[in-house]
Amino acid sequence: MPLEISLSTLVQIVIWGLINGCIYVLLASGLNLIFGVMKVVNFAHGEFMILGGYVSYWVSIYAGLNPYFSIFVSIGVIGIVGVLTERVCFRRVLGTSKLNEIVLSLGLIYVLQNAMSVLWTDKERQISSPFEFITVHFEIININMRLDLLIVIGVTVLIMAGFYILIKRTKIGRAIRATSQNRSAAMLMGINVEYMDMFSFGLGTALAATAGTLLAILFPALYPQAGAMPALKAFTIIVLGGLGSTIGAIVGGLAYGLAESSAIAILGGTWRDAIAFAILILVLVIRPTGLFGEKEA
Amino acid sequence: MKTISNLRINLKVPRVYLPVLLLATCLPIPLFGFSSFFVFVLTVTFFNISYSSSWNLLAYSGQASFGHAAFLGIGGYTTAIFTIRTSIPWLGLLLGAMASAFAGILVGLTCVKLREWFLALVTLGFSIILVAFTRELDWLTGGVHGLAVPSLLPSVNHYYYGMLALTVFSIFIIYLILKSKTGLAFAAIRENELEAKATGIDVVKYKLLAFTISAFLAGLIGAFYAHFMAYINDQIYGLDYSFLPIIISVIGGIGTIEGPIIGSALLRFISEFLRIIEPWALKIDPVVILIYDKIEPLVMGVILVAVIILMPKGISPWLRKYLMPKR
Amino acid sequence: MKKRTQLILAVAIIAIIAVSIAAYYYLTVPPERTIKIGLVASLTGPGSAEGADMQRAAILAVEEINAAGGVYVSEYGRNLTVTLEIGDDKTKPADGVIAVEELIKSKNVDVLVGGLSSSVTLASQVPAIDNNVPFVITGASTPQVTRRTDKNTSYMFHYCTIIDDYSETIVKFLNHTVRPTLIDEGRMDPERNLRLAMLVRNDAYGIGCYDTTVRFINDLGLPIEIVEYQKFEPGATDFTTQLTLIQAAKPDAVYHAGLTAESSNLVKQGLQNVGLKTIYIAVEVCQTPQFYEILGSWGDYQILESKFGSKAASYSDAVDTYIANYMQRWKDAQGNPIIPGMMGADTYDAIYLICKAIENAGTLDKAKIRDEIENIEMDQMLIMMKNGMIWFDQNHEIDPISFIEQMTWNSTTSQLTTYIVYPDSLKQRDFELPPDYENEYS
Repeated sequence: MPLEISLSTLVQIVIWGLINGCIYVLLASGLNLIFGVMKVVNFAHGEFMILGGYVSYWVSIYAGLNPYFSIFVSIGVIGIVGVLTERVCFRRVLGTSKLNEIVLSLGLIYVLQNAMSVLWTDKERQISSPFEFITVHFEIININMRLDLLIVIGVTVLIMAGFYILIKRTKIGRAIRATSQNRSAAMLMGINVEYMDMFSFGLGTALAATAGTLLAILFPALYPQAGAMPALKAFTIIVLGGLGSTIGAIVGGLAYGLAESSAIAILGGTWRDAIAFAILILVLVIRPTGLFGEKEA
Repeated sequence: MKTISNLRINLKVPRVYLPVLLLATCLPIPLFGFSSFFVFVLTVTFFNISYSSSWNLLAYSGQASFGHAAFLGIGGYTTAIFTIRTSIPWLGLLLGAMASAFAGILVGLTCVKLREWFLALVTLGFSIILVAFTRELDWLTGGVHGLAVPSLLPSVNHYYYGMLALTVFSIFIIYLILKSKTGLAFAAIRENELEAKATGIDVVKYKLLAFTISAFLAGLIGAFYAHFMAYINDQIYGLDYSFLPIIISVIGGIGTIEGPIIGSALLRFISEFLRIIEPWALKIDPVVILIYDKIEPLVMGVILVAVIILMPKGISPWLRKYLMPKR
Repeated sequence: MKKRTQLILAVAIIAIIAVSIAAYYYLTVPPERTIKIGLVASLTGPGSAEGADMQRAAILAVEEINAAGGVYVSEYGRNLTVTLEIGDDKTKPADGVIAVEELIKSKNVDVLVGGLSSSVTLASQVPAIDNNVPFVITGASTPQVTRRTDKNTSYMFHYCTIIDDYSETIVKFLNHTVRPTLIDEGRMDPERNLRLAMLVRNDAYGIGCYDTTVRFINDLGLPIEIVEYQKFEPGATDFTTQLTLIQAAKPDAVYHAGLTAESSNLVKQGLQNVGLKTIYIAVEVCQTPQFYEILGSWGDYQILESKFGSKAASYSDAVDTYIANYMQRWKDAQGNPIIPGMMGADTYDAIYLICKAIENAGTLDKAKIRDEIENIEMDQMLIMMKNGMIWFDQNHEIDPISFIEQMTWNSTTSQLTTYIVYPDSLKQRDFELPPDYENEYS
């Protein structure tokens, strides 16, 4: 049956892949930033994403704000939460041992997930968008698309453009890049690396909060356990796309989204989670340092 | 300098008498007419101890697996399939352990050259891929229906002693390994892989060995657990089972014999305490039941984070420092 | 030294608490004999919506029975009150086993009721089988629970519809009602088969729905063909790719088998994201308030197979009374009454059935209770039976009447209501195609 797929079906499957890819891009970019600067893998990144989704959810319900604007509130709140997490938890263990850092993020998964469960129960929620009932018709390929899907793509592009400019064109961006290239040299050049840690952690979690909001607008995926798997996948994406590479995270995220939707289409829904790790293991067997290697050990 | 002093601390032969003594005191419990649910709960606790110990051995060699449930599940499924098809009891346990050890070699081969976070991902990924295979290969694994595993022993009390014996066995094996030259090599690799290589230790061999032994034990325990639970499905490969030994061992003390015991005891303590106060909590507000089961993992998570920040080596080394001050 | 004293103190405190926990298990003696019914339900995890409904219904039933004076047990020569013990299986097999072990061995229940997810129940029923505790299963839909070959299931009873019933009702409805409607409206060539697509949860329940559908289509020789078959993982939230593939197959109807949250979101995504405008047929597992809540106006014209209509126009006095009592008893945080669901109705019936059996047995001996459940004969309650009586056949299964409801969105009240459209004996309204319905001919 999959062989008889028509063009519009194919286009649609590609679109689903790209839309999931947008979420992965946002998630992977944040994770990548944190890894680049601090050399820490934050497995709890997905929990910050879901937390961000909840913030937008409650803001859009209680303040009646358009969910796309509540992203800004969410970015602010989760950014601060991220900075606090860095100060209280990660800074204490930074440099002690890699294992401690990984297990710390595991502990944070438990704390955040279950705290969210206790506060808001396991019920799946979805942020209702004001454009819920609007669809756009594309004549050429004969498909209908929900307006929100287009907005989500647009928002992702905007956020990523802003992020790119911040990293490449501003002074603080240069400091971040310097710190991720060589921490001690950056310190010698008068950069406050601890401040960079805080800033990049906050920025990374803020990107995750954006991803969480967009995810919750598209899918009823707002429940405490929903973040664990996307975060792991985001990490496989940055491993594949090159640790520390911004473009790598973007390309990797989109490519991964596509791989996932084609895996569902060709192999079936069971393989959705497995496919990422199968690719990862294959790559790591061939190149133990990741597809693009590490700039610095 | 720092490495050398670290080495010396860790080369202290771990004490095995205390844990074994502690477990020995558990021997007569079923005879005292405790409620059989208490016996059941203790059996689960022994499972936690032995399973975490097998993980801890791997961590002792510097490799933290995030998908240890893969080995648990392979052991369980092997014995389930074997026992169902051939009706030969007991042999499945050994086969399960061996299948799991074989998988351990495979995963170990992939992992020997990897950095910590890659290793974590690959091991985790391995267990997630196994879920997909288990669900798809339904002619073998029963697919999503799972498998009803035949019973080996007639009652919970028997399983209690079986699990206790298995726990003592695992701890003893791990003790022997840690005490031997192999254990020394594990510790040296963990502390500094390059230095270990320089001193002539075959790093790849010892890393693989650690994976194999750890997977063998986990597979054995998983096989027995499958018979004990009488049912197995793909949830055995889940994140819950993968993260359980990490939490227990890290809280108790990574790379120590008594760490998993302390961790498991703490976990059991919290969960039994919550179980006992549950009726009172429900009297205050019946809605609490919807979130009540989240409190235990929440508490464990908070303890885990606190332990890593405040006593990064875990409770057991911290206790030792207090009980045996430096001369 | 001071720190050492602190440490010893801490150890001592922990030891005292540990000893008291042990003592608690050792010394707890039940104060007065009551009838203890253990409810196994999923209060957390993916099945929590259905589990909460079972819990509420069970509490309601027990309160009603106790308010009426309890159950007369001749062995004690007086009426005993009923107490309900609740065990949470967390929608996971291992936790289900622990929950049932606790109910049996620590809470000392006389009878068990509940059991939601099929795979969880297959695991959690084992302690009940091993300890010979009668267990009336009211949630799990796989027939395996009373037909196991590896265990003696003589203490297991299945008081709910099994997968076979869902699929039988749905394929008969498709053939009897949907196909003629499509032909009448010129949407279908009378010569061709009805094109059915299936989207199921990848577990025992979902795959069972597919297998039985195939079997009934073949056995009954119906002009229906399955043109697309897709699966999704338990707990999935994104169904778009599967729905796109289904859309490409141009089906006349989609039969989807998921739990409440999955099924409702799947319909919404199909209509909203994918633009697959067809008839979506859900099974009775989704008969919960959450289903209607998530669907909202997207549920207009959609179909639900059921045997208990909580939103349906009045069709049975017993059901009306039950819904009224339930909504009177249970209100959410905002004070709005909660609407009962299907699994709760099963559980409610089962508790009455158990109490009746205990009264007949005149004792709390588990073997006698089992015998009486096996031989029970009482008037139907909430679930309608084919001969109007509750009784168990040789497989320990019941023989209920399933029907098909069509949902209608009432824009003034912003509520979904449902009408029974099949079978003819219960029909309240004719089945209607959605106005924006699309299939091959559109």
